[in-house]
Amino acid sequence: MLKLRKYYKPFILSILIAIALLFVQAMCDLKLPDYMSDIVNTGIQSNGIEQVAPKAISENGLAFLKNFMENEEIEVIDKNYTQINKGDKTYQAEYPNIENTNIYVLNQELEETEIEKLNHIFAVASKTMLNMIEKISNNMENVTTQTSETEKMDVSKIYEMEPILNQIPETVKKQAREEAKQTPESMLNSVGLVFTQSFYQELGMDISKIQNQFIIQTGLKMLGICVIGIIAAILVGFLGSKVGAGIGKNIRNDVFQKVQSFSSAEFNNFSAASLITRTTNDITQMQNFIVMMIRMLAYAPIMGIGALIMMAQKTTDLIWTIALACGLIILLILFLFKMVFPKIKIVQKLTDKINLVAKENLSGLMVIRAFGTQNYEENRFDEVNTEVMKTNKFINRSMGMMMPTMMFIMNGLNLLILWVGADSIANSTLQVGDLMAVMQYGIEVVMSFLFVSMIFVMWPRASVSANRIAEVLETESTIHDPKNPEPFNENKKGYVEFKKVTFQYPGADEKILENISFVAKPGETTAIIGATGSGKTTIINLIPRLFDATEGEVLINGVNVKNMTQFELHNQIGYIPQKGNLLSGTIESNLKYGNEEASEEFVQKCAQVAQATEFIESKEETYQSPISQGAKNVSGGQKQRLSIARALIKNSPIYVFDDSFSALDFKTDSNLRKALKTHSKNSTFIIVAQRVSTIMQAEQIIVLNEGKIAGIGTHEELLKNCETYYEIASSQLSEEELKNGRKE
Amino acid sequence: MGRGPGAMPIEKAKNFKGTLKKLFGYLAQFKFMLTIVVICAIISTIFNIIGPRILGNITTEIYEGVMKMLAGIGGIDFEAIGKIVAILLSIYIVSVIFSYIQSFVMVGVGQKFTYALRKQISQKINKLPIKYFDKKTHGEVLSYITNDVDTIAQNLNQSITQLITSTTTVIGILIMMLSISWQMALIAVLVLPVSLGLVMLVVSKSQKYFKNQQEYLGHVNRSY
Repeated sequence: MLKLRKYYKPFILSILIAIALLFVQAMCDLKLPDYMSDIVNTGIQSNGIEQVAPKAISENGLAFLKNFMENEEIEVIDKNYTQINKGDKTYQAEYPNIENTNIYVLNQELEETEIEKLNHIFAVASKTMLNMIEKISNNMENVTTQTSETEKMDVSKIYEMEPILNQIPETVKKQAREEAKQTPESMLNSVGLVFTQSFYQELGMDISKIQNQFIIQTGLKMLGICVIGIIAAILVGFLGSKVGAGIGKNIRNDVFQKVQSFSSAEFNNFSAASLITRTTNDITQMQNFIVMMIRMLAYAPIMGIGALIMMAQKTTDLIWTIALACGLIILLILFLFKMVFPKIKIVQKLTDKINLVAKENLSGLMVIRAFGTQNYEENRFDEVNTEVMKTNKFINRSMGMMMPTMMFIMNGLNLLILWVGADSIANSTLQVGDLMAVMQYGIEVVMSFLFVSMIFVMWPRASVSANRIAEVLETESTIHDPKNPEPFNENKKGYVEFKKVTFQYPGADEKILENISFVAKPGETTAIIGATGSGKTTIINLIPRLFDATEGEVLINGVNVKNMTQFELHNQIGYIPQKGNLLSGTIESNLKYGNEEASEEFVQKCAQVAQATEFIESKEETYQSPISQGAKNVSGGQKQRLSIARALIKNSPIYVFDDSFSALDFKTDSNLRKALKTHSKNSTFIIVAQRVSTIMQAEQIIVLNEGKIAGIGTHEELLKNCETYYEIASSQLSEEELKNGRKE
Repeated sequence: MGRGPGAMPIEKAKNFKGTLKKLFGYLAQFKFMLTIVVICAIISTIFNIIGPRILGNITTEIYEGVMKMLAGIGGIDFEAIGKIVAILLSIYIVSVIFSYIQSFVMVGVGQKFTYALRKQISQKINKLPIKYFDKKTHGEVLSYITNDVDTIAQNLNQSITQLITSTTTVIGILIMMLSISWQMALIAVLVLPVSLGLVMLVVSKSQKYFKNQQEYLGHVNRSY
């Protein structure tokens, strides 16, 4: 992955923006449980009343509560509350009962710390009062029944108790205060809110309206945050795809360009199929992984850590449960992978084996049918097939355990959080809404943990792809264009010269060609003949510079092939491969491959020379007949003739035939050669052949034997002086033909 | 996660109904095992749905306990919660066991099915007229045997399981929601067509890009 890091660079900005947006998304996702907890705690449990310190309180109420406060606390209250006189119209709407009583209103724009101080004062006062009531409730039955329904507590009834409470000795009061101060904050808060609610009711405020307002408000906030989160997520998806596709495109371009520059030496290293997989499959793999990474690898830790922090703010009692769940998941994943991973490798090999057996079956179809060994083949296939089935069963069954077990761990986590959380609630260190939020945070932590571990599972696969791509990109082509190309020697146009050329594959000991020197002139045919492995094709490959000569020089038009651009070089050569490779398309598109501007007439003329007219015109669509992929719809001989025509249409000064007549019958072969001679009188022909009859008329025949020249000359000369040539000729020609040759 | 960004567009079957029929014909031999799969999936899903409902009881129990605490008359009833936890735990365990059985049997069906398909193809190869292989490259036939059969098996496994569990889940959750509050259930149901419409919109817009992507990848291939 890291080898390709330079490709990430142009997209750094997009990646950073995406990560920033992920932060936004994570923050939004994290805020949601918080608001939900608010709805439960404040909205439902406290009827939407957010703070203990009342916004307004009746004169009586405040005076009553002051009984349970200390002097400095009363001072703080007086400082922050303003008296509003009975019947003030401006407050009529908000507090209807202002008609009957003076009220105190909390000053606007107070600081957070001040309000918190007030909250605490009111809460402690309320709790003190409650404690005192409890202390005397042993004597007074009716009070207990009243306070049992704190929610519907009527303030006026509490006022009735004022005289009783005033009679309580100062020591008891102090004790009640001390106890109140000891009470946990969340409990204090809850009690305070109950009283605040009662005071609001006293002022004639509509509590259910307050509650509805609070819930709707919080709900709207949640909705807003949700929308922001969604927008962030969409933008991240957009940026992620853009980055992934952009990187994919750049890499694909570079790989393709690299491959274009490869010489045969590099092509021999990578097979064509493997290069295709590398440019398509591997790059797509990487591209997908990058998108995933941007979406998940950045998001999951932000989310996980964020959720953990949010959770820690609510309570630290429950963090161990998350750790336990994560630990169990690690164990599960490790266990499964230890069990399954080796088997996955085996399946990969078995799939190759199935392919192999099926491929042998396919390519040996004729033999199998001829020998009637279908049963044997089917049994062989069945064996591998059964093995694949068994291994796959094991893998899928093991992996099938993963999801349900994960679900179980998640559900178990919820249960554990509830069980342990209930304890915290009983100790008043946690509120119900917070517990529910913690459950959600817990799931979020575990989920993000899962994502991260999934990425670790996917990483090796993407890494393999990245390495395969890097391999191609890092391979340097051994063939380069010169910086200052030499101009052609006009006097030597069409000349192909080999000067003491020796060739061996890099790293190999054996010399494929040794000390080869010859000149092929325009208007002449130079033929190359020799046994298989004698180096014929290697000579041919050196001409268009598919390889570079190890020693010596190859000259075209009087210039070393290393000193001209490959483009110029290839323009000089019309190459006809042995197998006559055609591309999918039509006959015409193939013929015009080297020269798109060729006229209709020229195409037809060249086809005529190549002896291809007859079969082209026998086809229904003649030149527009389709050629399938791999040219399966034309015969081997037709392919050769089409590729000869294709080279002729390119109209270059030098023609190289790599055993391109092998699939033609003798008559077509000889007609073709005759037509060629008359068609391009001034061209240079270099012909590799197996058949002596094909090259008998050549001006110059080069006989190769184990990479060395065994003889150069005409047919007649060679028959006389070259033992190797005589051996080849005598195996192919009749006695009479041989004698004829010798006589002349 | 559904269809990832790399999901291939589905090549349209020439005769979808016919193909489906054939597929079900092949599946008929696994009737017994498939019945087990269906039953297990239904049971495990039902238990999965009941879970949150009972989990809610714990929250209620805690909430009531808190209210009692505030009023100063008692607190959280841990015994009651303990009982619910025990019930839930056993429900979860039953659900897990049934999903294990279901996936175990389904994998068996899927793998036997792939095995049979491959075997039949390999036998068929030896019976087809030679002419057939003039039209198809070896690569194509090989791809039928390995890739395509794998795809069928995988989709079969996923679709059947998902079909059963999804149907059961939808029905079960609907009942559960209705039993809690029909108004809230109605809201949730009303949201469905909206999200379905959104998904359809996105899919219809993106489908042609999936196709294009695949096609251009093909072009890249051909330039070699």
